[in-house]
Amino acid sequence: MAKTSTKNQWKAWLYLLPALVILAVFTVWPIINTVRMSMLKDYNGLAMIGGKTFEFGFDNFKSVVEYEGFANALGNTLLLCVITVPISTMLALLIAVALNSIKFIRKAMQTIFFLPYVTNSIAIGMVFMAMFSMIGGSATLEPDSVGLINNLIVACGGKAINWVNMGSSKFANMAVLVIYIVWNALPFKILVLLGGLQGVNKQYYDAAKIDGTSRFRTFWRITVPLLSPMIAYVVITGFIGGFKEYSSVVGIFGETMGPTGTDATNNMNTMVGYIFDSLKENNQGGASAAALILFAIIFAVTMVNMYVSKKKVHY
Amino acid sequence: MKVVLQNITKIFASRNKKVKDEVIAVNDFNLEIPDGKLVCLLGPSGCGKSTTLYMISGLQEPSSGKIFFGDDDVTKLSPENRGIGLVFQNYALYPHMTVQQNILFPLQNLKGENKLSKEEMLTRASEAAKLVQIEEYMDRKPSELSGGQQQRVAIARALVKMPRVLLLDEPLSNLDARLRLQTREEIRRIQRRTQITTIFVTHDQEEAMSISDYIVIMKLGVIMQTGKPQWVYDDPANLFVAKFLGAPPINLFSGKVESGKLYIGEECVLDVGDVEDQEVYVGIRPEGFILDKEGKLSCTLSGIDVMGRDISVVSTCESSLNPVVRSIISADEMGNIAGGGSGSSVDRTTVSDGTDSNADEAENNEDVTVKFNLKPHKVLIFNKETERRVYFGDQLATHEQMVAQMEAEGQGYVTHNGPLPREADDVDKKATLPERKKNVFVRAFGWVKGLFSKNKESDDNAEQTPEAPTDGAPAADEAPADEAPAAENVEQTAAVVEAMAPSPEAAANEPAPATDAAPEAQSAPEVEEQAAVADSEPVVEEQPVETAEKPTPAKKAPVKKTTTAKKPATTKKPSTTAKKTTTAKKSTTTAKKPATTTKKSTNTAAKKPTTAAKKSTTTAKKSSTTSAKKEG
Repeated sequence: MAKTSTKNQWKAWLYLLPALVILAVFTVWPIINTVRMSMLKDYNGLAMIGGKTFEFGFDNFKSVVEYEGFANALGNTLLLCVITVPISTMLALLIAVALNSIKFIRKAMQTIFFLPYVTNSIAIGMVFMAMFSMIGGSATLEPDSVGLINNLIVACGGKAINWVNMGSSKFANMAVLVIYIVWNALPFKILVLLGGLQGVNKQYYDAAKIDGTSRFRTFWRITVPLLSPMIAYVVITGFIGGFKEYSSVVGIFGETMGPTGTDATNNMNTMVGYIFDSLKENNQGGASAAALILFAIIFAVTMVNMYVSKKKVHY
Repeated sequence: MKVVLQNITKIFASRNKKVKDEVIAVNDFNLEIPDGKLVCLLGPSGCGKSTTLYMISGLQEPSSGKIFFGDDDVTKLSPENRGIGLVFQNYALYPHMTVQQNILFPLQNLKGENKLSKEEMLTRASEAAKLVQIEEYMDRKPSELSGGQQQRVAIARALVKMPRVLLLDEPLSNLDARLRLQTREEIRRIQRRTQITTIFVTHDQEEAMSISDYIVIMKLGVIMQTGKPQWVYDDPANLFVAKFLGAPPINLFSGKVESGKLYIGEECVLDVGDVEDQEVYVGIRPEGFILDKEGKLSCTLSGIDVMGRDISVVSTCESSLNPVVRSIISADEMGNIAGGGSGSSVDRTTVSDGTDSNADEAENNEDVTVKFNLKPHKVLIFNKETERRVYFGDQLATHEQMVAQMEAEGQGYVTHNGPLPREADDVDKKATLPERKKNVFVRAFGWVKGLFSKNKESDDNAEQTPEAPTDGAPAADEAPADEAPAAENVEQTAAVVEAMAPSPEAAANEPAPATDAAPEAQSAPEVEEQAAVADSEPVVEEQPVETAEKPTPAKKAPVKKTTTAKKPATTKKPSTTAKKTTTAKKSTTTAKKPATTTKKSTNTAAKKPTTAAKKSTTTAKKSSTTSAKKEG
């Protein structure tokens, strides 16, 4: 038995070879290279070709952490995650339950809710910007247009708010980002949760009905626990996606990562944005170090998620 | 709590929207379940027993009829207000809760004045757990329990809120054989202790027989018989019940009654007294055979199974409707016979001690004959057409005594009085296909006829040629089918129609005129309705005689009648038949004066009765072939 298996093992490796080669070149080596680059002080690919040598050590990490914009980027990222993931998960759960309980026009509603998923986030980000942006005007002059959202607010008797333009508050910027990210994250979550809901045995609901369980209690005591594996999945992937948020900021604020007049210390930059910035400055060593820091954060958060879900999730 | 079901009917719309079909899951169900009894709804799958249970629970709403718990009408009440406990087939225990949480769950739902304190809840839960003997598993999750334990948790959860009625939906079908036996005893014990009216759904006749006070045997949504298990076994009201109850199943033979004697094949096996001459099915319970050298029923031995307590003699018989005749002879009796040596009833082989060697020998010798005498009370005869029981000797007296006793106990005796439902009209899809085919034939037939009588009259009405009922009628379209052939058809068919049903009253007395093919036969009960001969009972009584000659169409026709005659308004089917009847009627009237008829009526008249005529010929043929077969 063992003999034949060893005899034929080279065949197995042969068949695996294409996949292994591709994985090695495009996945394993980049990871290793990232670690290598992060360890070489101020690593720069072009300079290395020129024959420059780099000092080995943790200096890259040090400089990343000490960089003035780093704290801002990290803070923005964490804040976005903490706000958007719970909101989008809750909303998705409610919408999924609502969708599951209707029969009429369910398919049409499903399609509508799924639309954001198939659209380009940069393009939609620009649409959002257009909706929130004021056109014309300055500190002294009244603007020509206050944007669609402000029009709505004014129509409802509110006051126009400077959402994304020069001089806007960070709170307003964050609000726009949160709205956009939640909107963008909903479809996938709804899809997953709706799938989970449809897999729940209807008899649990029949049993609950016979026991006279109220709708609210049915939701909390039956639907949510039975959906908990799906919810955990959605939350974990939501956090991972949240930490990698970048394109939404670019879509709304452009490459400056914030309204005009802000800089690295107070714009809406995120961790991934910071990595891009470093690459743009040809500081591959710093970018690698930042990427590894981001990885460590995501890893830690996911571990926490897993730990919590192990206790709370019923599989 | 007494549970009463009054004229409960449940109709499910077909999933296929194109075919406007509907399935009658439960049809005009009347039942009274006395307080504190355990009643089994028993029947093959698809007979509507679970639907009935769900209607009692409130999870499904009956299409018509009323449900009473005690004196309260609960028909419109939602499930949580009915005070029921329901145990699902796969238990539906909440997987994320422990056993204790599962049992507590119904109590935590209580609101207002019913609200319990935490301690009360815990005591109630532990009481329920004690009752079903699962106290030691309170902290486990359902997935950590065996099937039987889960089942008991489900019962505890249903019992903990002290329901007025406990409903069990095939609760044992997920358990293995041994556990099933044990658990059903458990259920019986719990029911006896709590004295909660319990309704138990199962398809396992053994299960039903062993635990219930009463069983209700259903077929295709209709009650076939109710009664105490042993009574129903001993005294089945019809062939279906006799076949359904009993393991090993009843042995069925084709036979006849002639001048007070019962014949199986050519052998006169029993005196049946003053039973009218008729073709019958003879059902003999396996324990109804007595091995006897001089026995009147002879079969060819094919083997002997020894089962310890009993010996089962397996033989074949020409007139038997089952592949083998299985008779159970107690081992003692067998020994006695064996002692008789050559006096054994088994020719040429001596059944010495009931060992396998005999069976082997028997298998080698194909022509070994066994002779049996029959125990009269184990012989049940059924009319071949109606499949209803024909009582003979003192069987009727026993039956009446039993019915009286049941009435006295508050459980009304219910049997299915109308003609028996058959699988054929279970789902009408089966009927639609051949019907369509027939229409093609009919149309072709009409077209050929049209060719012959083409130019009799002017064809100014050509555009209103008879349209086929389903889709474009090729025959009618192609033929220049003017009014003439149509009118002619009308005349002919009108004659047929008249011959079939000279008057509504006559039709009423003849629920299944031999010439009346299945779909048209639906009209018969309608006519009956119109004639205001509401009482269906005498009709049924007469029916065997009427239909005796032509078994095939007769079988179909009375079935329709059960659905239509009783509840014409509630089911959709009758309404369509009503239409049919009116058109048929119209045709009769128009036929008499074809010249003056309006275009439309002529059209319909031409079409409908032709169908009838054609069908009648086909069915007539069929019946003749079947009767020929039977004679041969």
